[in-house]
This record gives sequence, C-alpha cells and structure tokens, in this order.
Amino acid sequence: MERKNIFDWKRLIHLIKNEVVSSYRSLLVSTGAVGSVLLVIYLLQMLAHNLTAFHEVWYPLVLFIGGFVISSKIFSVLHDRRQNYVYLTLPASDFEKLVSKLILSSVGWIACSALFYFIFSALAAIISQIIWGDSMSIFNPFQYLYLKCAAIFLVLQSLFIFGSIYFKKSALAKTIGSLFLFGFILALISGLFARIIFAKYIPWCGNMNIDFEYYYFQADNIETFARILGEIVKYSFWFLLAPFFWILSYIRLKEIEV
Amino acid sequence: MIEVKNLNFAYGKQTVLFNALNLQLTVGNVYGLLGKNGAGKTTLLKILTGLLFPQGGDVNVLNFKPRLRDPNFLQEIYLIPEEFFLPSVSVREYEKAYAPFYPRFDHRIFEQLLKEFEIPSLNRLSSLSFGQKKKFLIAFGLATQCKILFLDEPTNGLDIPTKSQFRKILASSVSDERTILISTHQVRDMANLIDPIIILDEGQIIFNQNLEDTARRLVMKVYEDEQETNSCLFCEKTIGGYIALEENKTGEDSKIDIELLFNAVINNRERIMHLFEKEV
Repeated sequence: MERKNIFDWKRLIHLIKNEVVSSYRSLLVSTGAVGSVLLVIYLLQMLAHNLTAFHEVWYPLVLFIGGFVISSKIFSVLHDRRQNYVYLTLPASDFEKLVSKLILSSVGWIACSALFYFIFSALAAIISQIIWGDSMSIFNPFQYLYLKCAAIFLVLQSLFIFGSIYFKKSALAKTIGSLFLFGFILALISGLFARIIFAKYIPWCGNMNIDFEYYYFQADNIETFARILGEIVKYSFWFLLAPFFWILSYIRLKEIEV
Repeated sequence: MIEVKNLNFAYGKQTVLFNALNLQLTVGNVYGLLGKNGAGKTTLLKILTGLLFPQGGDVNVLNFKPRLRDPNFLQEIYLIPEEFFLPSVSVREYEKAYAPFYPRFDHRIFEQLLKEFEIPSLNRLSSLSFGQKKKFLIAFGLATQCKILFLDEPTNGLDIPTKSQFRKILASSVSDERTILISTHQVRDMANLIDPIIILDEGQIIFNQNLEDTARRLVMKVYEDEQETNSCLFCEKTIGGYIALEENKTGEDSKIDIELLFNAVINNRERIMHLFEKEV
C-alpha cells in the first residue's frame, strides 16, 4: 500500500468528525449526569464545611474512570454485527481508524474532561456562593498533580484501547481482570527474583541456596543495581508501554474479521 | 473486475463452506447470487468486501486484495447487508459524516433518490421504519457512485410498491462503469432485474450464465399431464398443470422463470452443466 493509502490527514479529520457526530449526544447526556452528581456532592461537602481536596480527589476520578470506560467502549462497534461492516468498509485505512479513536479517547478526553471539570467547578462555586455564601477554589487544570494524572492516563489508556479491540464483550471488566491477573503474576515473579537477588538484605529469607549477590554483585553496588532496575521499569512505563499496546492494537485491528 | 480463484473458506474446522471456489464477474451487470440458506452467499459477499479473509486461494476485486482494506478499494465499493444499524442522527448529519469518504458522492442523486423513496429528510434515521432505513441506505449507496454495489437480501422488509420502485431505480442506475451484485433467495422480487444468474451450492459456483444464453439452451413449457414432463429437466405442479424446464432443442423463444431455473439447477446439476458445456 502507498503511504497516502495508509495515512491521509483529510480522511483522519473526516473520521474524527464522523465519530463526534455519531457519539456527541450520548456523551452530553453522560456529562450532564456526572455533572449533576458532582454538584450534589460539592454542595453537601460545602454544607459540612469540608473544604479539603475536593478537586484533587474528584478530577482524577472523572479522568481515569470516565476515560477508561470510554476507551473500553470506543471499539465496541467492531463487535456489533449490525455496525461492524459500516466501520470496516468505511474508506479509511486501519491506521487512520486507530489514530482517530486514539486521539479522541486520549488527548481528546483529557482536554474535554478538563474543560468540563473547569466549567463544573466554576458553576458549582457560583451556586455554592448563592446558597451557602462560600465556595471552594476553581479547578486549575495546569496544576502539576493534574498534568501528571493526564500523563499517567495517556499511558494506561493504551491498555484499555487494546482491550476494546481484543475483547468482544465486557471489555472494561475483562481488561481490568487481565491487568489484575498480570499484576499478580508479575508480583509473584518479582518477589521470587527479589528473594534470590536481595536474599542477604531480607531477614526472613537469609537461607536461600542461590546467592546471586555472591556471584554477580559486590555489596556496595547492589544499590546501584536496584536503582538501575527501578529506572528501567520507570522508563519502560513512560516510553514503552503505550507504544507497545498501540502497535498490538493496530495489528489486531488489521486482522479483525466480522 | 471480480476474480476469485480456488477460494477456500471454513467456519472452524468442521464447517467447510467453500472448497476451491472460482468466480469471474465483469463490469456493467446486475448479478443475481442465488443459493439455498447456508450456501454461503453472505459469506462470499463478506469476503469480496474485505470483511472476512480467504483461507486459501486468490481474491481480486478491482485489482485490489479486499483483505487489505485499502481506502482506494473501499471507496469503490458499497455494501448493504441484510441486518444493519443506522445512528440516531438526521439524514443531513449522516450525509455530512459519511459522504466525504466517497470522492464521487453526488448530493443531487442522493436528494433525488430520497425524494423518489419518500424518505423524510428532517427525521432522525433511528426513527425510520426498517423499510425506510433500507431505502435510505440504497439511496446513499447509489449516490456514492461506487463501482460495485453489494446488496444482501435487499428486498427483505420492503413493501410491494417499494419493491417495484427498488427494481426501477436499480435498473436505471446500472451503467458500463458499475456492477451490482445482489445476493437473494427471493428471486421473484428480482425478476427482470438480475442478469446474469450465479448459483452457489455446496461450496461451488454451479451456474453462472446470462439469461439470453440460458433461454437459448433451456425452454419453459406448461403441460397438463404429468406424463408429458418425463423428459424435462425439472417440473413443478401448478394450478391446472405442470410447469417444466427442458432442453431447448428447437430454438424456441421463451422467458425463463428464475425460480424454476434455480430449482432445476439445484436438482439436476449434472445435466444442466452438461447442456451449458455444449456449443449451441
């Protein structure tokens, strides 16, 4: 396939418009419902004179839960036999289809949720001032905490996008279940390695038969090794995890049949 | 234009649907794809449109491999399946969202067809009846001006006046540039529209002939007595006699009933295939 057949800006923009036209109504209804619930909680918290950390708790919840729900549903069209043919025969490449949904459910969702939450916090403050004569500060999306939440969301969201393509039904629950299972297995393996490598430093497993430290590490550079390991995990999370699942999602999308 | 060579396809390991299926279709015809329930008509359409992948053999449509779902290929085809979903948007919103993907989409044709089909353009698509939704999709499909239009059971859910309107509109939209492939088991609805006829049975294309050639080789006759039908290829009891399809030995001119032809081919495959292999 020629490059233009794989990626074309015009088609990408049409896909994004198409997606917005098809789903903005249900998104508006959900936004209204979430906004109303948050407003009630806000006003009740004001009534109790509890002014601590409202936005710090609720914005990350809206961002992560809302974002994961949306990401898990974004490819549900592929698994509905009355709709999948339209999507798969729509004249755009699989790459453009993935990128359009990725943009909407990642950067698009972060921008929309921040804007929604900002408007909500401003409206809630006005209403609270009218009712209780007091309010909390307005939400500032550019605070370090929220920017970090957005960055973490961008990485984790890639898992839910893949889940949405891979799982035919209940993608959200199955993705979370798979993550727990994976986390559990990873914890077991990590624990085992920790016991083997750091046996000397863990009092209750001092009698390990294999003392890797003796063979491979000097006592004074074991900390360096632990730090390097930590850095590898950190960089893998920030720079490898999301691209890995995007590539997996693309491969899966290309191979999907109805 | 459509070339299928030795196509193999199975659902799982047990249900083999196509075993070395061959098919060749040329441009500018309204093909009728007929077959019994479960013969694989819909599956074949899905393979030709890139929704299912062949497990063996070679499939070429407009010189593209459908399984790659190349955008240049997808903008030249349009599929209207038997079961479909339309979003809860207005006709205009749908057109704005989907028409830009088809470079030759003609708004005037779309408007004209909506008018002919009496589709209210202000209503939400989700509020239309099944028949209206189907007519909407047919109008949209024709307005895309794609080279191949695939229709799966298009007359299901249409009322009697709409069926005739559908035939009229489809017949008028055929050109040297466009091919229409209609998969159906309601052959009476398609009379005077589909030609050539393709019959799919037991994983093979067992018949792919135009009606002119068919009429040269076969003739339809009506008999009062069952004994007169002994030499026929297939006969059916009707009110007041028997309707039979037999070899046209005298060059007689008759109109072929597609349903009778289908039954004859299914029930007497070997003899009919042999007849069509002979020079006339």
